[in-house]
Amino acid sequence: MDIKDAFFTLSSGLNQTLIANEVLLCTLQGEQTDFVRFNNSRIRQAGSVHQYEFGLQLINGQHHSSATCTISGQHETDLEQLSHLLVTLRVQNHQIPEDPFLNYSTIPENTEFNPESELLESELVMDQLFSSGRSLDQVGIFSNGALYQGFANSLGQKNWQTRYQFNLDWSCYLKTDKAVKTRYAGTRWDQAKFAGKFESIRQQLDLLNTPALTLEPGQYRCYLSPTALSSILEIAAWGGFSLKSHHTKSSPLIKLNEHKTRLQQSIRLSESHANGFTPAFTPQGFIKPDEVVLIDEGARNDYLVNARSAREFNHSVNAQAESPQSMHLAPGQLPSADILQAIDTGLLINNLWYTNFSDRSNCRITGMTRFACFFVENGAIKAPINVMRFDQSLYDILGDKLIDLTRETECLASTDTYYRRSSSSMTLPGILIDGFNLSF
Amino acid sequence: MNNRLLETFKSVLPAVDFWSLRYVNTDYQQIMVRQNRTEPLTLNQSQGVHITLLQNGGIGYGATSDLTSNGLQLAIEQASRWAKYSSACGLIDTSQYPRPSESGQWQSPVEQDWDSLTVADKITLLTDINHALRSDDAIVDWWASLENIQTTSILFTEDVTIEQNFSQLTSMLSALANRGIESQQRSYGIEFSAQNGLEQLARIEFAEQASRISQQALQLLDAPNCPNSKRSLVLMPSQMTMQIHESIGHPLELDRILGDERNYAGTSFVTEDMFGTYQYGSDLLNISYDPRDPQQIASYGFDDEGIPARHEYLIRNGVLLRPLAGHLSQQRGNQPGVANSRACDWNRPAIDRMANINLEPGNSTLEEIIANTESGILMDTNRSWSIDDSRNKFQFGCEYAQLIENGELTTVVKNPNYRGISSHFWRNLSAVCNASTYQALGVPTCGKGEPNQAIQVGHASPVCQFQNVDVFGGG
Repeated sequence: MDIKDAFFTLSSGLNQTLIANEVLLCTLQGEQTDFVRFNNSRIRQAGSVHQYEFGLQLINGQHHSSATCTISGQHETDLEQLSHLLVTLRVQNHQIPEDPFLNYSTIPENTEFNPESELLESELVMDQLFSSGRSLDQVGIFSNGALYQGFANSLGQKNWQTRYQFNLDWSCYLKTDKAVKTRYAGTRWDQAKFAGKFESIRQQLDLLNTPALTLEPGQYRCYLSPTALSSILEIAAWGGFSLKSHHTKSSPLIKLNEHKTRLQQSIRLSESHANGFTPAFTPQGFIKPDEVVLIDEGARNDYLVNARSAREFNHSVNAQAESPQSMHLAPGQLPSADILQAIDTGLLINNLWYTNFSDRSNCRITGMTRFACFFVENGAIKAPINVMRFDQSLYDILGDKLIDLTRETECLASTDTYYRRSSSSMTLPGILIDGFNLSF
Repeated sequence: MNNRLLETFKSVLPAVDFWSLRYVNTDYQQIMVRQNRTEPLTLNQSQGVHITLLQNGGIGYGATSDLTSNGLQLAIEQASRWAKYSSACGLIDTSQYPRPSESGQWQSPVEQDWDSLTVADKITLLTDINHALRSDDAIVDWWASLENIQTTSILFTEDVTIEQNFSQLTSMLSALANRGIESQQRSYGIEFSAQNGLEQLARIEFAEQASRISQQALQLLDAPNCPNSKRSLVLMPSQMTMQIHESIGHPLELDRILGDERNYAGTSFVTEDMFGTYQYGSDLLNISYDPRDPQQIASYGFDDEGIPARHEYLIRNGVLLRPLAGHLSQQRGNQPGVANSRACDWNRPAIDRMANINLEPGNSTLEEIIANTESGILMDTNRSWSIDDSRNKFQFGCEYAQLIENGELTTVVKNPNYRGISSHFWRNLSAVCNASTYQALGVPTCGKGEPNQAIQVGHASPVCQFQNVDVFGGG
């Protein structure tokens, strides 16, 4: 029995044990992943992780309790374990108060996304990596395998998603901190596309092989790549798009929410569920809309709303979590091919690192430059730069200081593997800005 | 269960050069009351095994939540598959991989068991704290929570069995004050996360802190921004934790220095030739890897590769002595080290981590430091952290600060930040308080590794003072 059938069989078995008017919501998150870590173009740690986490939410009126536990995928063992857990939740429901914000879907809507795997064997990919990167000092990780997510409830709803994805996230080092970081993610390995990555890597390594400049603190005209911009938006997403954060005044975008300021007119930022990799359903059985426009024409348009917030603030459910999982920033007019010319004299920043707030109420964010960042003079790359700190408000970066966004966007699949592989992604253009604040 | 697991494992294990089986079982519970309402309770149970095999000069692992015979056999096949592949292109000399030789046990010291209070009792406690936090209409968000993590970790090899049982309690509370577009938050408790039971609540005066935290959040709403200037900086232990963590702990991890983390967590400004001679800080700086306090969050008897944990100085009188290097890194880098090869769970392999990295008390008192400071600032409770990939140039922000002027604590200021460079900052360490301000604190979720791992690390420290530091505010 595959894991999908195992999940639905288990949830059906558990439904048989419900008492009176109880409602049961079940979820599954699982993966079968090869993780291959390498350093100096040799294997550092390689292994495979098979893990399945079953979630239960037992509802009785306005009382409810939830739990998760790992399961084996072997029916008898799992059913016994989950039945015990269900009893624990039933007892707990008597000890806790009613929840006025309990919210779950009561209209069954079934969905299934269950494609065939087109992944290459991990060993073949590693062979190609070491062969294509011969003579390079490569360090990073290759993740490869299946991600499973499921939902079922005792009202008859069933939802399932399988995704077979690979994610190669690696750096090629010239020396010390001078390196080119690259990502390649997808569902089907494209050898030509992969080979193209190495052309760009070798070009940038050549550019890094000149003495680095140490910049004076000050304001610089600057291009931020989609990857660099993602490091800024990741921090803004710590409460910046959440309805709950808005109502509790903890949003870093409080000025935007209260219409005290706005971003540049060209900014349209949305949660694009339809173009992301996360499931179409939430753990409460709601089906997500294709798109939620969060910022339109530089102004606040909507928020991400999970099931509880929807009930608390009288809104419809539009997300699993109240932080973006499939962020999309609309492109601008600048052709990517013209970036150096558009910078003229300034900085080309490919990566930022360790971003955090320095003043949350003003959405002021700090962080460091990292990897291949260059000083550009008269439209040509002159030299790599040593690491510098930036500290600036998002209201500047995507506001008054923003010159343009690139016409092309890049889809950045998350490389986050805390607890399990992430399904999140961002689709972003690069941005050209004036007056990027840098210090030591 | 455990003997049966081992028997089942051995029944499907082929001949290998070396094997280890690490079983981890974790129960996590969280209860939170926010704005006087009970949030959905969290109960997470996890168990699985991590199997490491060494075969013909290669090494691989298989990790699974399927503890049946079929599941273990599949995990063994995966580990064997990777051992075979890495035998031709591996970085590791597998003869250097640790072979533990000492069995043993560890047990967290718990005086008051988590279940000694019912769920309803805990909700009542947290609700009472909520009422204390909501001291004014300007407090617009407030919450308090309790978390308990019970972990059993058993490492089996052919020669040893090491069983360690950890019980961790984290109690947290927070108040957020708002006026218009200005919000200020004060929080308390997460830094006290420790290996103990509910007795922690009395030890850290958890409920009693609610009123102070709420008042300070309100105070910050009316406070001016932290001034931009160079001045003497006094850090409370709640910020020293992050300072030690980012600019001593991480730079001393030998796997970073050896390049393993260059694609993710970064490198280090520390190089292999510095150990034994480099003046890391002033002669007041004494840093140890210290598993001796059984309550501190990252104390243990053995690391996850079975090496016994013993106290060692990393920095003594300001001089850098040894890196944070587990057995394998010690062999790879030809350096001394400590027992710090740790994994966050059964689904991740062990890597070099911090454990308890503590700054030892000095001779000053807080009163003396303040009295002797003409122009300074005292900062409390970390809220922001950022450092370059070689762990040298840093910027930190705190929740709360107070100016020190002519020997006295004066104006409360908001949005306090400071900036520095690790290799200079610690040399400007000018005073270390005695044991009267010493607190054993920690960071419950330190991130590192590929695949990523979040793990708890401890940092004990007294109040410390640094000279000539760039401080600045918000706006």
